[in-house]
Amino acid sequence: MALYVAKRVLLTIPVLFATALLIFGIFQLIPGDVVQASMTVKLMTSAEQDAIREALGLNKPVLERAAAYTVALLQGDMGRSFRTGQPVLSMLLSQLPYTLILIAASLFVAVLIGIPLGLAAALRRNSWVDSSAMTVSVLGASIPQYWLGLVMILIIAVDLRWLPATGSAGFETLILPALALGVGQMAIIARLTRSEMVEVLQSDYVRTAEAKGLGRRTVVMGHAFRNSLIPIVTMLGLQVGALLGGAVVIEVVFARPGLGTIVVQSILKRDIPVIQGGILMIAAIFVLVNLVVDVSYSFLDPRIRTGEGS
Amino acid sequence: MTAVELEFGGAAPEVAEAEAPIRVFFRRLMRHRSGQVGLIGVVSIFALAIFGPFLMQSSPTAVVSGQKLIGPSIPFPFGTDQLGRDVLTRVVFGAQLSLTLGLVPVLLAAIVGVPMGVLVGYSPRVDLILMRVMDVMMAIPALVFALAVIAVLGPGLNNVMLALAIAWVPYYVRMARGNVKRAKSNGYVEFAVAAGATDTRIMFVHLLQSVAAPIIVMVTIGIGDAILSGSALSFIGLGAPPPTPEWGAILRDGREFLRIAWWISVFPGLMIVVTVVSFNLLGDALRDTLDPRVRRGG
Repeated sequence: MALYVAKRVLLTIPVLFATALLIFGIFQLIPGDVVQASMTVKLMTSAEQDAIREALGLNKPVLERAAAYTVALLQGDMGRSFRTGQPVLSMLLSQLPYTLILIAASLFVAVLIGIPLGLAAALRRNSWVDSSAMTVSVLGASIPQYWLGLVMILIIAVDLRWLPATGSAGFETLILPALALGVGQMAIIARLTRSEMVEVLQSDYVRTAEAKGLGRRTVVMGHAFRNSLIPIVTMLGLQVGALLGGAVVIEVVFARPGLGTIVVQSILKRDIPVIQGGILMIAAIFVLVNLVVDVSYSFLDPRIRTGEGS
Repeated sequence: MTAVELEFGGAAPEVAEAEAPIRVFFRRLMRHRSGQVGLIGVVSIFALAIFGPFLMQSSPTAVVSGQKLIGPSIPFPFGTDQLGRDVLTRVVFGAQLSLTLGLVPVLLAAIVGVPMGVLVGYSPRVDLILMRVMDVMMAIPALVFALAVIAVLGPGLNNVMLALAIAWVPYYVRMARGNVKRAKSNGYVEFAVAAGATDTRIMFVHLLQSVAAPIIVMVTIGIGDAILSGSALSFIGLGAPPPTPEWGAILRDGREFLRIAWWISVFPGLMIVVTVVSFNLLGDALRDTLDPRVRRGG
């Protein structure tokens, strides 16, 4: 298993590099160049512009710049913000915890509601439990998260005054954003749990377990649900991508600090180094989460651990 | 993009009945409960987008100073906004924009992605390089990838649509590739080769047919996703600029007045929910009716 984990970790390194280069490449396509694009930040004479181009190495050929960019990244240097002059990496790192907490809380919401909902639907298949769970799931997947956020602010924060509408201090400020962001994933998890369980419950080994006289609880949780876990964990890993995208919007709705807020502000202000760094950091989180998911398979599925059947 | 991967049996649905396949398909779709609801919803939204604007008395951007922030009432069923514009009129005119926002990125992504996927699935030589590029693109969450493209192109509704299309191309490539690879093993490709068919003909006549069903499902569900993502980008100020009555943009305009005039934000939001639910239900029903595997397991 150690070998499998090591292999998987090593494979992640080229992916991270390729991602960084792809993002670098996208930002080379800016009409004109970075300095011109950021002219809205402050007006500069052409001599000043040239000085900045020189300092940023923009007059060098693109491959040379790509190499320089990669080397700088390895040293933890993402450049400096055009607006504030601060190092991009430290600006982003100060925002990172807010986004990570929001994502974790949303995943928690998605799992905490989604899995029981899907289990209940599968165990009472074709009953009213099933149809109402699936109705909730269709709605959850179709509601714009930012709108749900607004409606919750309106009802829970403004009318009922139960929870604060905005801010980032304390646990209470996390509840509404996590609910708004988690509902879409909850819907997907509920559906997946239902369909996996429906399939597994019809399989031979579940019938065998029942024939052996094992209790319903042991069969469902010990045998059937355990085997549904792998696809669910895979889906959770993939859904972190959707959550990272959704977090951008939810952070803006709830006026929370975070990677999304800083990237959106930087797009509106044309602060290219911060956008580029922010997007790379979000992509890196996604890649690393999927690494964790892949590694966790080996704990869930003994076939991977021993190298059988793969 | 929906992360749920669409995988199908590969072969086109087998039809045992003597009836024309298209009629069989419609009959099945109409017997499917969520198919009925979804189809009615989707047809209504299209009807609203096409005919709605003719029924409205005023322009969606007409500012009337005497009627600011009036709540839902008989003359203004959805109320009026901070500039005295009728929210119902804006929502009805917005239907066209929001549907366009849903259709264009998905169709663009499919038109570019599917032929690429078919080509890659058929010819292993192109496969290796192109799929690594697609893998790297998919390492960036789709909405975040779209943000990068918007950062380069600048905000605006057209750029949002283009950005979403680019971000979704890899998902269509992968889906088409997977289905083509499976279809290739079905034997009829060898048959076509033996019969003297050219590569182009095999790819775009035989194999494209094998991916048609999953594409239709993916596109239908994708339209709902595009409306959600596109309106979200408008909402955070990167999409349609004021006074465009795109639903996400109306929501953004009403946000400041949420505490005193909930109707400005609530009604366009409900329209988005109804539209996306309709496309999702239709997509689910299409999956059930078009996929032979699901139908058998039923």
